[in-house]
Amino acid sequence: MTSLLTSLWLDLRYALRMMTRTPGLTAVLLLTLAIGIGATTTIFSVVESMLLRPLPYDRPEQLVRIYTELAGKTVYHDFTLAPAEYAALARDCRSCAQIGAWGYAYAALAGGDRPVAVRGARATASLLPVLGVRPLLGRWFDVSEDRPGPPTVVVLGHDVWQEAFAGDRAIIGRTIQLDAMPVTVVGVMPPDFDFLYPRVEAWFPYGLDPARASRGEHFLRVVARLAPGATVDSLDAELTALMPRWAPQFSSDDPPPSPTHPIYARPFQTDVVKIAATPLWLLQGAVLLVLVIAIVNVANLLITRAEARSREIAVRHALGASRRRLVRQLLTESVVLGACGGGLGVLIAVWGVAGLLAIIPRAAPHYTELRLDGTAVMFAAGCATASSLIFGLAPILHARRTDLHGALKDGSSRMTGSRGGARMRRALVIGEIALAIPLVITCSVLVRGFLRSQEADPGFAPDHLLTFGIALPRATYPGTTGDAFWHRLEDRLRALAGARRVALFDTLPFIGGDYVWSFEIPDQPQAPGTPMLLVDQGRVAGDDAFATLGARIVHGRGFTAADTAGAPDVVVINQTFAARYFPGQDPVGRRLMVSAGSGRAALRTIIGVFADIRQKIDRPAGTEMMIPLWQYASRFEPPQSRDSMSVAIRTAGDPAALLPAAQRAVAALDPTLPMITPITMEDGMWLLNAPLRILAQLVSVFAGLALALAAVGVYGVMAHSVAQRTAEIGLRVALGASPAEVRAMVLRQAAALVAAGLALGLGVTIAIDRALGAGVAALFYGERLARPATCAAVALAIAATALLASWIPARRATRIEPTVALRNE
Amino acid sequence: MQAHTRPAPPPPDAFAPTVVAAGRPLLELARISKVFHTDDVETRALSSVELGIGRGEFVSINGPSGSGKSTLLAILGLLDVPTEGEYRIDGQDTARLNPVRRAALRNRSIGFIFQAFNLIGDLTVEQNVELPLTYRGMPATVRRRRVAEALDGVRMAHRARHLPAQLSGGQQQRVAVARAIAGDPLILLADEPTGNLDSRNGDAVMALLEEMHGKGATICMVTHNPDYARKATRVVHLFDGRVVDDRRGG
Repeated sequence: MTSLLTSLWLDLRYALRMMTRTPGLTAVLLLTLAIGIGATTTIFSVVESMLLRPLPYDRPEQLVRIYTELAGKTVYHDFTLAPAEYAALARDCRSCAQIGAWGYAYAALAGGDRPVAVRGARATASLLPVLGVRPLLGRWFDVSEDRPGPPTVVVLGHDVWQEAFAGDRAIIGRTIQLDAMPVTVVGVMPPDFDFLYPRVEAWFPYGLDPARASRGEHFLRVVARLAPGATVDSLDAELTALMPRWAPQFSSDDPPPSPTHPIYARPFQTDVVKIAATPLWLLQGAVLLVLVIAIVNVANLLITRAEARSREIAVRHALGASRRRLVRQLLTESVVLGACGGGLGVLIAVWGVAGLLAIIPRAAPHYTELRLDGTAVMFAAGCATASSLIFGLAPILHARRTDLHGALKDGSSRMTGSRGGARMRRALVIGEIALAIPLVITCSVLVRGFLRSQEADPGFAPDHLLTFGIALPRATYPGTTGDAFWHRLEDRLRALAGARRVALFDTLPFIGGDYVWSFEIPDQPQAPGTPMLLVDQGRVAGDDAFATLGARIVHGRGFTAADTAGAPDVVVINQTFAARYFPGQDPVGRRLMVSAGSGRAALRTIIGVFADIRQKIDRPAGTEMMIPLWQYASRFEPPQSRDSMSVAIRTAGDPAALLPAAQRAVAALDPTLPMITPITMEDGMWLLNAPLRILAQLVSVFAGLALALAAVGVYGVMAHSVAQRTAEIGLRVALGASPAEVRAMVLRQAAALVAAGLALGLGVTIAIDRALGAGVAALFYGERLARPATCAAVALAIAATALLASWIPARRATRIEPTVALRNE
Repeated sequence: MQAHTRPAPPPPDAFAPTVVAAGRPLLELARISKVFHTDDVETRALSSVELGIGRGEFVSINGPSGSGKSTLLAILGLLDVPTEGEYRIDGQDTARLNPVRRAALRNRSIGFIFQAFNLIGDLTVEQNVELPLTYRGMPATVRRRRVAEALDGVRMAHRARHLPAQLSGGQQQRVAVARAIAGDPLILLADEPTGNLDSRNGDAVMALLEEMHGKGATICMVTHNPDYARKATRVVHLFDGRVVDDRRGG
């Protein structure tokens, strides 16, 4: 045992001495490994935080999200539930032990040092018990507080408690103003309670009353805890079985769950990460490729070093070292190298995670949980160990093939170096190039997709647009008093110097929510039992909406100030709507029965058709219709104006510069109203692009690293080849080869490697493209990885880079003197 | 100078060597010096060497180690340039040649035979022989014919597809001779051609060189072996970078 330890200690010392004896090579090896392990660990930290780490709820594997679908009726999927559906579920579902629901809403919170607009959520009293989470301070609201009517209690999010109330622990029991109504703070949530996206800062009771809820409206987000023994599949089966039982309980205008309108469950963990999963796994794959390329590079350099050490290995053999002993020596050297590279890699990962936190929007899901933790460090250690064993194999295999007699002889007359070593090095470089190709292609497709998303015509002019939201407390603005406020607000804002046009919308394209409305075409009656017609986007807009947005009316007219409650009900539709429902016909003058969310349906005359406006950055416009804001209130009995609107101001100059004046204008009308998310449209779109932009940036960095490492690999192999072939090249020069011919010979050799690497890499890319299929296209804005033009451009770029890397060795080869041919080896 | 009969010329093609002007040495060295500098040390390898080698001569260059034999051979073979002096091949001054023209002249005019054979391990026998012809830009059909003739000439045609490692030392040197003569050069330069061979194979290679000379080849050979040196028609003795003896015989 002692002798084993002694010999291990000797191996370790020798390994360290080897590293210090060739500081340049050691630095390159360590840097290569550190970059590979550091980048991989950085992305693993994100993947682990966002995808792999169990959700911070009690027994999260038992939690499921429940959705419904309006198959074939709209471009959207995974719909929220109608109150009637939620009630039926809560009553009848035996696979659900508990069920809770919530919905997002902005609220004006007063009582702190200033009024703030907070992202709030109305939640059922059952929600937190379903999740199994306890507030940090105080308690969650109970069933007695979750009753129809204005909320009386609120649970604050940790951030708003810190920012608006300075983290005052005496906040529990205090009365604050929520939407101008007094509410009692009963609890404060823990700091890491990052419940879905976006982050919620105030929780108040839903006060859900299914009996009074408008039929057919889907707005409830639902989470359930599976009963003991139940699974997602058994829950789905039960939900399917319940459909026929539920059908008679739903009215004709409230479509019951059915095969075309199913209710289904999805594991909560899967649901939370569904948006991030594909990009993150893509990133993890990309960075693993970088690590593999780094390992290949290290293996390549170690083979080169092993060739230089052939004589030393032979001498050790001759002196009695067994093969096992030599393997242990070489393995120790690799492990020491891997350990040092892994340590440096963790250091790089610390910086990498800090860098990611700086560029990822704070509102991103699980942002607060993103950190380099023990699991990530273990992952780095695993990478380092695996890397050591993989690249450590290369010199061991080389040593096993070393011709001991030849290595000990001083004066071998070989013209070229070890054939086996050269073959292995070439194979490794071919592999490096092949691995770099899918990465660079992915990068170029992502960047193309990103640029295309930037170039896609949104259907309006996003420049010079300032936007913000205003939510009117019902208590302060009952009935139609809201409309009076909206009128005054428009007038005030239009009077601002620098404001060219002003319009109000219930939701703005890109930065607003999606509202799906149902409608009928009276002169195209549907057969009984046919599912209702749905428009992908319904919008309520004030007059001057189209001019303010910079959208185009292509036929008929837009809204005017004359489209008021007393005037005939009107609607405008987009071109996609017109093409789908009135193909080859003039839709202007035709009528639609529109159910614009809650309230009664109204028969509206189509007065105009507008050019499509994209609602989302990553998909084309669907069908859309707009109704005038001033005809909204009359849909209710008694009339009730909209309580929240988004404001769009088209400015003459910098839209952000108009914000203070706009704030003053709002405050002059009602100082208790906070502005919700004031932002220019361009900034909003920039933020929306963040995921794809960050993905494109990170993949670009990794592709750059892969390309650089592959270029270093090609350079290393060619430089070593030229050095080993000095005598041969000298001979060729002696036999009449010109410098150009020598250069061409080296470049031809490099080109052969590159061509083999390109062929393999393109094959791998095509295979990946076929394996992932439509999933890839969805991620890349409809682009496929194996697009011939992209593949050709990337192949050309990689070939150029690799040949550029070969240029230096090729030039060096032309300087070899022919006299070396005369020297005895 | 020994009278000889030149073998039947190969079919005329664009790659035939330049015809030598009568009465003038093929290679002319005038006041050739070569000085090497290493750090602060100056080493004079050749001093004012005057030498002319005529067409059809078989010259042996002798001398002890460090006498300048290899340096002289390198300059004769255009592998190195003299520090001083003038070197003409077939009347052409080599001093003003750029590397490209120098390589072309070397390829066209000089055939090398090295002590260590210097065959390229990755190329077959015929590819090794073909190599200088490839650098000359010769069409493939002509190259193939020349290679076949050269390998026939050294009796190695049957091993054309073999790799050098599959041949004995003597066979490798015969292939090297074939490579040297395939391009029909003005002169064959042999640097210790038997140095790496046993006496039997050394004798065989010398017999081959004599045979080549008998067919009209001009040969300049560096050797330590006095027996082989005596087979030359002229023996030049170098000492301390100077020609101290120049004797014609045979």
